[in-house]
Amino acid sequence: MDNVGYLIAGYGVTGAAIVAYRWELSRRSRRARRLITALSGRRAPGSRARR
Amino acid sequence: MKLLDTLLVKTGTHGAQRVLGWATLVGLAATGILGLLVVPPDAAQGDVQRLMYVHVPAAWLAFTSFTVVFAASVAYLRTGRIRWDRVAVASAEIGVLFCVLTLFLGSLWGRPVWGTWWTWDPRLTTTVVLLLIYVGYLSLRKVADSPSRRAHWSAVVGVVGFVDVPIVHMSVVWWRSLHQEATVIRPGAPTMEGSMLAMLLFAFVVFSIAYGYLMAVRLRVGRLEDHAAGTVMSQPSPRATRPVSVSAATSTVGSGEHG
Repeated sequence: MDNVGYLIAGYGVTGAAIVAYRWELSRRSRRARRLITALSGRRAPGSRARR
Repeated sequence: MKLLDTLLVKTGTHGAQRVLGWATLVGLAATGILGLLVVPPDAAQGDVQRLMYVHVPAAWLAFTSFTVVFAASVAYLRTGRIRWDRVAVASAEIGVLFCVLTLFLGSLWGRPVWGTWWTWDPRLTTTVVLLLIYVGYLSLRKVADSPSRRAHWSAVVGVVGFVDVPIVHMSVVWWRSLHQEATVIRPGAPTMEGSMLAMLLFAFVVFSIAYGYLMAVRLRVGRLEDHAAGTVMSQPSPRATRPVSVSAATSTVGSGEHG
C-alpha cells in the first residue's frame, strides 16, 4: 500500500472530527442541564432518573 | 416538509438515538476497514484513491445539510415556528463540520495526485465560498439581539446562501476545472468500477446515518439550550430584588444632579 500517511490522516481526522463534535454536544448538553437545575431547582426536561 | 417533520419526531426518542449511534459507530468502522483493506486500489491513482470513500460522502453530507438548512429556513419564514430555526442551525453546524472535512480530505488527495495541496480551481473556490457563507450564518446568530430577530435573519441567509450549492455542483461543468466531473450523480450510468461504486454507495448510507444521528443529538441539545436560556430570562434581576435604602437612592439622585 502506498501513500499510507495520507490515508491514515484522512480516515483518522474524519473519525476524530465526528467523535469530537459528538463530545462537544455532550458537553453543551451537560452545561445546559446544570444551568436549568441550578436556576429552577428542577431536573431538566428529558433527563432520565439516576439508578 | 411533512416527511422531515415525521423523521425529526421519530429520531427524537432516546431509543432511536441509541440505535442510530451504534449504527453510526459500526458503519464508520466498516467504512474504514472496507475502504482501506478490501476494495481494490485504483489502476491510475493507486491507494490514495481510497480517500474518495470519505471525501465524496463528506461532500454529499455537506450538501444535504445545507439543503436541510434551506428547507427549514423556508419553513420558518412561512410558519414562524421556532423548531424550524432549531433544525436549520443544527443542520448548518453539521454542514460546516463536513464542509471542512471535504476540503481537508480533498487537499490530502490533491497533494499526491495533482502535486499541490491547494489550487484556486472553480470547484475548490466555490466550496470555500460555501463554507464561508455558513460560517457567516453561524456567526450572525451570535450577534443578533433577540431570538426572533436571530431566527429571521438567519432564515434569510439560509435561503440566499443555498444558491451556492448548485453552483458548487455545476462548477466542473460550467468552467474549465482541474477537478474531475461527477461520476455518480450524472446523466447516464456511473463511470466507476462495480466494487468501488458499491463501496462509495455504502459510505453514502453510513454518512447519511451519521447525519441523522448527529442531527437528533444536536436538536436535543438545541431544545435544552433554549430551555436554559428561557430559565435565565425568567429569573428576577438582582437589581429588582435587592432592597434599596432611601439614603442610597437619594445619594444616587444627588450625584446625578451634580454630574
